[in-house]
Amino acid sequence: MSIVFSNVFHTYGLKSPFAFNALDDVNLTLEEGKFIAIVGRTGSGKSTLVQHMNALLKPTQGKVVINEWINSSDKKERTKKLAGLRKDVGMVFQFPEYQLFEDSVIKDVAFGPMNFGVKEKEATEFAKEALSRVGLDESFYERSPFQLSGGEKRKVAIAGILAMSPKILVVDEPTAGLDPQASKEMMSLFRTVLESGTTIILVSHDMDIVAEYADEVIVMESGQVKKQCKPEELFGIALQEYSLDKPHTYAFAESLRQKGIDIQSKSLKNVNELALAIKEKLNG
Amino acid sequence: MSNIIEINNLSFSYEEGSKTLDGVSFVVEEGSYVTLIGHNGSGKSTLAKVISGLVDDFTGEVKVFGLDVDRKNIKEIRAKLGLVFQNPDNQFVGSTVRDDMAFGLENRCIPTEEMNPIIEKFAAEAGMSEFLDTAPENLSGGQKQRVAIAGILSMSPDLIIYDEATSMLDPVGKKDILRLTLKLKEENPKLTVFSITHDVEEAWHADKVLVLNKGHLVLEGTPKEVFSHSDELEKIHLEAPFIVSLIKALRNNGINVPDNISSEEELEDYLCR
Ligand SMILES: Nc1ncnc2c1ncn2[C@@H]1O[C@H](COP(=O)(O)OP(=O)(O)OP(=O)(O)O)[C@@H](O)[C@H]1O
Ligand SMILES: Nc1ncnc2c1ncn2[C@@H]1O[C@H](COP(=O)(O)OP(=O)(O)OP(=O)(O)O)[C@@H](O)[C@H]1O
Ligand SMILES: [Mg+2]
Ligand SMILES: [Mg+2]
Repeated sequence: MSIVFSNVFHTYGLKSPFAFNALDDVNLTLEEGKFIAIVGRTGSGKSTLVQHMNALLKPTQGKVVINEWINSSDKKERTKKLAGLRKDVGMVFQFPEYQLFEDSVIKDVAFGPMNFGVKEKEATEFAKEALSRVGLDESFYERSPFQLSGGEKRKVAIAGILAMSPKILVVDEPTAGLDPQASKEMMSLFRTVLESGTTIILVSHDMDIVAEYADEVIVMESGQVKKQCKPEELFGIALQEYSLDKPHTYAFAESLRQKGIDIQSKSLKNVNELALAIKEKLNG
Repeated sequence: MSNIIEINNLSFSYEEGSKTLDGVSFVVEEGSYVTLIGHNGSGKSTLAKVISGLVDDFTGEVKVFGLDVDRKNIKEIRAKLGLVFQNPDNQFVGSTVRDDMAFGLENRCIPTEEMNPIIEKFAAEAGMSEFLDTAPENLSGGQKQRVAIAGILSMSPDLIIYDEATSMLDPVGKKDILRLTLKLKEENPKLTVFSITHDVEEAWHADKVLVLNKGHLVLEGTPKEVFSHSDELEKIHLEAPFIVSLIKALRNNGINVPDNISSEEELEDYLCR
């Protein structure tokens, strides 16, 4: 499934005195089967953008085509029944709290598949599997989702979407609030999901993660797409104007370059790649 | 120097049979910047709630500003303590950003005519001036966090508790808030910061780091001391800051970085020597 945005505008409070243009003529093609990161400063329109991918928001102008579905500002053009779209494009919100509502964790996670017609017994099996993938064991099944820690809530929200086996997984700041190990495990879980054929769309402020996992990165600024490229290309340029930082590895390589050690490696996904590149430079 | 937080053998359970906090003891000195790290569910937010008097029924001794955290003292303690919640939405009460901030100031008995300059100053410091008349629910995630922080800082607390207060800010925004906090500390040397975070880079710059594991305080010390235990930290779901991890990776590749190197600049100079 690919996603194509054509001249998409989104104005919050349209026709009110508080009208605000959160998306400003977005044209964008997201290809199937890739790990795509969306970055950009606070308020640049990332969450607004991704909520158009499963029609939680509708464009105020323009259209988004997600395979056979059309999410258009024009009612006549818009696909009438969007339930199937919600199943195929799974979305984990920036604030997981708003996704939780059942009185137990297991019911909460099983809700998604059941909502799309899976019988309770099978849905519960899906839920158990999803919970174990995000690192929550049986002791969590009967607990109330509202009496969990911040990071535990996020894991439940992610499990709830994984249990539906979406074709496109959209995750908005999925590692905010996760501890370092949970964050790594979550990212490698997304990679496994990618390898099984699911497209991953990740919104993140963590450039280290973007450098390590993304195939492609999209930079948003003031409701517009400013760049779509490979991470190594983005991190080669000055990023301050987008309120972004380089990943630690690229920033360190840059400082070394200024002091006379020019590291050859193009990709510096993590400290190990950086250490190896430094070693090769010093020895060679 | 006096202790702003003094905790002795604190235990707390949400439900009988399992202890969320178990025999925790530590002190936080006046004017220091302390970070608390620990895995998901280790008890960090619970500890913040105990310190702020938001839960009863703990055992052990908890003193803030030298006062026991109990019904009798809680008003006096809260007048000087500001807690920024993990989820900013749990903090908002006003229908606009301005109202929300005004509500907090009203609680601190700031006269109405003095409110606006204070609100405008802190909204500007947090980069939210344009949004004073916006409803909090119509803000982006990061904007909500900025407002939550501005609201607490505007009340000029002597003790700030951040519970992952900048987790959704962009990298520049994170640095802005850190800089603002440090500026306020410079203006008020008594200001104490207790910051709960998963960001080990922030912890690396603190005066002191506390580490929780399953409700137990397992490590405590300067960042350098604490992060020298990188293998132990990994076992309890944590990691070392970039500089520590890089030095380790270099050593694994046969580059023998000496022990006295602890900043990126020192490491660069060593590699370029
Ligand atoms: N419901 C709403 N009503 C009015 N304006 C809104 C609403 N939601 C968002 N906005 C505004 O639209 C802009 C884009 O918001 P969005 O949530 O898409 O940003 P974001 O890039 O996800 O930011 P962050 O990194 O802080 O989460 C912001 O300036 C925000 O204030
Ligand atoms: N209201 C509650 N009732 C029962 N148990 C709770 C409640 N709130 C939290 N817990 C449990 O207590 C433990 C500690 O939770 P706490 O929120 O303090 O963790 P935390 O260290 O802040 O984690 P995180 O990094 O995920 O925010 C967790 O196992 C959590 O599930
Ligand atoms: Mg957002
Ligand atoms: Mg917490």
